[in-house]
This record gives sequence, C-alpha cells and structure tokens, in this order.
Amino acid sequence: MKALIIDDERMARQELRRLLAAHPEIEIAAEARSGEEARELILQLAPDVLFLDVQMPGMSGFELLQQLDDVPQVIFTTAYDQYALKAFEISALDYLVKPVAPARLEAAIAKTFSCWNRKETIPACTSQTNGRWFRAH
Amino acid sequence: MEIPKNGFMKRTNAQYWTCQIAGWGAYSFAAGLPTGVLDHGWRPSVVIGYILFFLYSIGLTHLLRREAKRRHWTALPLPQALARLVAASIAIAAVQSALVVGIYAAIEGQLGVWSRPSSIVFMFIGLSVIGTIWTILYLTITSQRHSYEVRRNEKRMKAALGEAELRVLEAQVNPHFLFNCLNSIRGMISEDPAQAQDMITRLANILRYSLQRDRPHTVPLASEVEAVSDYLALESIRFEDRLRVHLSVEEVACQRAVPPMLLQMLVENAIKHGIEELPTGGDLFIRACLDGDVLRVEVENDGSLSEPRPDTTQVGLTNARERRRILYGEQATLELAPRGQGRVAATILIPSLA
Repeated sequence: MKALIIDDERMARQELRRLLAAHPEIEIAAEARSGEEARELILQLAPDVLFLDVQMPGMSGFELLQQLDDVPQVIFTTAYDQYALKAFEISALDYLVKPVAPARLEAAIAKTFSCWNRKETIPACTSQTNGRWFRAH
Repeated sequence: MEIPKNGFMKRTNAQYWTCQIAGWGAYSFAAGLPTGVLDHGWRPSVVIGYILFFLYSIGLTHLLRREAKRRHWTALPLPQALARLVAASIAIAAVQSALVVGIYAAIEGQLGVWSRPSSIVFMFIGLSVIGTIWTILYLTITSQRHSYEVRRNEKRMKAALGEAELRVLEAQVNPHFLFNCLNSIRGMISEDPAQAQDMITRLANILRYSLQRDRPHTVPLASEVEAVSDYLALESIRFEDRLRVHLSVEEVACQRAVPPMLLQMLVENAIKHGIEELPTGGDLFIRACLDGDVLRVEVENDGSLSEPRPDTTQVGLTNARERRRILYGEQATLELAPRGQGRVAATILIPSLA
C-alpha cells in the first residue's frame, strides 16, 4: 500500500518513517513538508493512505483535505489532541498523537488494510465522509 | 465572591419560616390561648386576639429581620448586634402590647383587665423577654449559617484559585511544544544519542523552571534568558533552519529583576504566531538593554499581527500583562506592534523597582 508522510518537521517525518519500517506492507512513496507539496505529490503519486500532520505553516492538514477532489485514506498525526473531534467529524480513518506508540500505529494500519481490502468489493467503504470527498470508482 | 442564590437560599428561607411559625404558633396557641380560655372562656376577644397576635408577631419580627439584614446588624461585633436587636425587640414588645390592648378594646368595647396599668406593664415585660429570646435564637442561627457559608466560600475560592493556577501552567508549558519535542527526542535517540541526551536535559530544565512551586515574584533577567535559551535550543531542533535566533542581552541588564516566564511567554508567542506560520520560517530577535534606568526587553519576529486565531486563548499575553501590572503598576508597559518589513515586535519597559 502506497503511503505519503506529510509533516513540516523533518524529525517528525523521520521518526514516522522509522516506525513504519516495521510494516513492510506500507510503502512510503514520498514525504511532503507542507500542504502545497503534499497536494502536488498526491496528484502525481495517487497514494492510498496519508499520514497527515494537522498544524503546518501555510496550509493545515484540514485545509489540504478540503482542496482535494479525490481523498485517500487519512491517518492524522498530531502532537496535541485538541483536533481529534474535528478529525473524526471528517471521517479520518484514525488519529495518532505524537510520539506515536508502535501498537497504536499497528492498529491504525490494520484498520487501513481492512478498509482497503473491503473497498475492492464495497466501494462505500472509501466514501471518506459527508459525501464531499467521495471517491469515484 | 458572588454567592449563587439557589437551593441554599431556598432552604434557608424555608427554615426561617418554619421557626417563625412554630415559635409564635407555640407561644400563641399552646401557651397563650389555653391560659386565656381558662381565665375567660371561649370569648371572641381571646380567640381572635391570639390569632391576630400570632400573625402580627410574625409580621413584626419579620420586619425586624429585614431591617437587620438591610443594615447588616449581624455583621457587627456581637455586643453591638445584640444591643440593637434587643432594643428593637423591646420596641416590638411595645407595639405588640399596644395592639393587644387596642384589639381587646375594639372587640369588647371596654378595657377590662387592661384598665390596670400594672397588667399592661407585666405583659410588656413578658413580651420583651420573648422578643429577646427570639433575638438570641436569630443571632445564633445566622452566625452558625454565616460560618458555614464562609467555610463553603473558602473552599470554592480555593478551587477557583487552583483552576487559575492550572491555567497558568497550561499557558506556560505549551502542550503542543512539549509533545512535539518528545517526538523529536524519540526520533533523535537512534540518530544521535548524544544530542538526544542533551535535549532531555534541556527539556528537564525548562519543565523545572516553569513548574517551579513557590516561585519568586521576580527573577534576574539572566535566569530568564537561560531558560529561554534552552527552549530555543529545543525549538531549533524541531524547526531546524526555519528558526533563526539572534540574541543580544546587555551585561548590565542581566541582573535586573523581571517576572519569571515573561520573556519565555513572549518568545513562545513569537514562534507560535509568527515563525511557525511561515513555510520558510523566519528570524527571531531578542534584545535587552538599559534605557537610562528603564529596562527595555524586545522580542521581534517575522510575521504579521493578525486577528487572533480561533483556537488560541491569548492567555499568555493576558497573563503577562496582568502580572506586569501587579508587580510594577502602570509604570511598566507591554506593547505588541507591527515593525515594518513584515515584522512584529513585543516591547516591555520596566522601570527600576528600587
């Protein structure tokens, strides 16, 4: 499964990459340092899942999602849990707080896979949300 | 502190009316009326007299209570409160006596037993004693209730204070910073263990400095600068080349007293609302110098003064202003203003305390 890591802090991206090394089924297609960079990379690479930081300069994680027509699965990663409710409102697949516990990451990945596998047969599983970010299949 | 007038007040009032009705009821119908009936039989003057006595006694003492409350008599020292209340009860006894005689005369058409002044005096003395007992009961109950309320308010005040302190702590140790920092450290542990150790030491310093209990009201600027340096070292690891710090503190300014965490808060604000918002980062200038006798501390950063973000509380700046005002009065100032060239500066001026 193709993943994109989006975080403005290099150390944070590196730490997530290190944690994801334990999950060879996740292929890190690229890293983005900002919302703008991420938008381009998503169009180019069509990743299956985003590991998305909420607070970034220029464009927040939420703002990035609003600009996408075709939204991959989203796992939010953030330092502080004040955005959790909002994240679930837009049907993020999962929400991880930094520093990310390996077990929590594993659970999030398992969830991603179960949804990903189902989507082959049940397209509804990929409808990200309130219908605004419906993935056309 | 405002006391909400809710169930407690309702309960208090119910208690008061119960005491009034039970007290005057017992006196009028259990003691007075049977004696009167024994002496004179079921005469209208006796029955109506005692029913009316019951009602106006409650009315008069209620009036006394209202006046006592309005004039805050119960807040006076005990002898003064007692003197006023007893005097008022004697006045009430006089009114009661006049009413008893008047009502009897109105119903019977003659003065009867009240034609003897001695019986009126006797009744007046008796009612004065009753009034005094009422007063003593009233004072005892209110003072007990008062001390209960004081204890309750103290408790509530303590809780409110605790909450305020907690909010201050939250403002001082920005959780966003703390968890991002821990995340960086965890990444650093395998990449560069020595630097990871250094980061933990610095983080411990900052936590110790900001979580200090019984902190002094002021600290030398030098300690504040030291804490800020640790903080900036950690932020530099997070932001890397996006954060460029320029620190210039005059030697003579170092020993001047400043409120703890004041500079820290301004620097944190500059990063949170300025540099963190800029994709390419920015410069942060910290300057401290003496301007005559006035300490001038400046924190300048790239960024713009915009509307406060909806997710911020501005508690940091408000807190800084409040403490500055408490410590130095209106002579010290804290100002946040645009500086041109896309910069914002916070300036504190603190006059010498001596």
